[in-house]
Amino acid sequence: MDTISSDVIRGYNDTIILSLLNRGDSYGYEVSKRIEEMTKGNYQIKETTLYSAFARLQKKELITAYYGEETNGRRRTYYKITDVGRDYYLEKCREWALTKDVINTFIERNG
Amino acid sequence: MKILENYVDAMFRDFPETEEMLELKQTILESMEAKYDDLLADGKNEQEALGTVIAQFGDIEELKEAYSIEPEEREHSRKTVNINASGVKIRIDKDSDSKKLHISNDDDLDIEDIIEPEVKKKHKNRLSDIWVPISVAVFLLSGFVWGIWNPSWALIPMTALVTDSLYRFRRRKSLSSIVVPLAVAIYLYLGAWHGLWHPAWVIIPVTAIITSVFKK
Repeated sequence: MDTISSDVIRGYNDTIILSLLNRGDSYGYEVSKRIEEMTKGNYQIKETTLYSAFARLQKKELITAYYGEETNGRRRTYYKITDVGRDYYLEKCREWALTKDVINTFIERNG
Repeated sequence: MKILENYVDAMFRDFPETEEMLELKQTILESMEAKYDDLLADGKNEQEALGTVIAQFGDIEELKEAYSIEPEEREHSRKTVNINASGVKIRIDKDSDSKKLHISNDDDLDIEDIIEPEVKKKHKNRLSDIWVPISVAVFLLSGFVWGIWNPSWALIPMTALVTDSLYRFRRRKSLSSIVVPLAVAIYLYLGAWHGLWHPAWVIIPVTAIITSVFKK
């Protein structure tokens, strides 16, 4: 298997991003690189997926954006998880535990 | 990097040029360039790195959706013709998008959902589009320059009739396609050779009436 398909993971991109921002503020490229490193290259998030998730999460007020210090003449946009975002993330963690159990019920039996 | 810049530009072509969108585009471009540099540093060659970065761009529709950017609005028009014949009301809508006619009755039920006429083709083949204006021009010219208003006015209905019948002949052979040119020929013959312009003109409207009756 090369990399995970975007279809399979679609519902969990927001959770993945919130999980990373829960460890500390970050910016687009760093989030993308972290995902790749932490999954040992099994999942590479697409640019459009990442930046549409940022937009969506901001709209839902789960994260906020701010400008970081200027580097090479460019100010970088950083994202920060909000309190609402943290609650949402924890709820998603519980949901995933349940989802994993349900799916495993079927996969393990046949696998 | 120029290739990536062009690629991102092309992808963002439908986005409004607001500060927010330009910022987003720039951020994505820089992210891709950073990834490209990292891949080169990892020992990939330029082609491989470029291919990987572009493959990881994703689907622009995803971003459009997130930023609620409507798909480019196409000019949309709808022409409606209402026909009321013997108490039966029929509505014909021509939709510019589908280039199809929707024919419906009064109750808004589609009788024949979609009829696909050769709307475009029909238009292209209309000889009258070219020849009627030309004959009008010839008529005006001969009237103003040579003072020949009288017989030359006949050019206009004749051109209309001939072009229309030729057009109909192309689509399907019909009576008027033979009869109308024949009538015109007879009229010209009687007029030019025998000087009988006056009573002979009658043949044109008579032919037109006859063919229109037979058309049904």
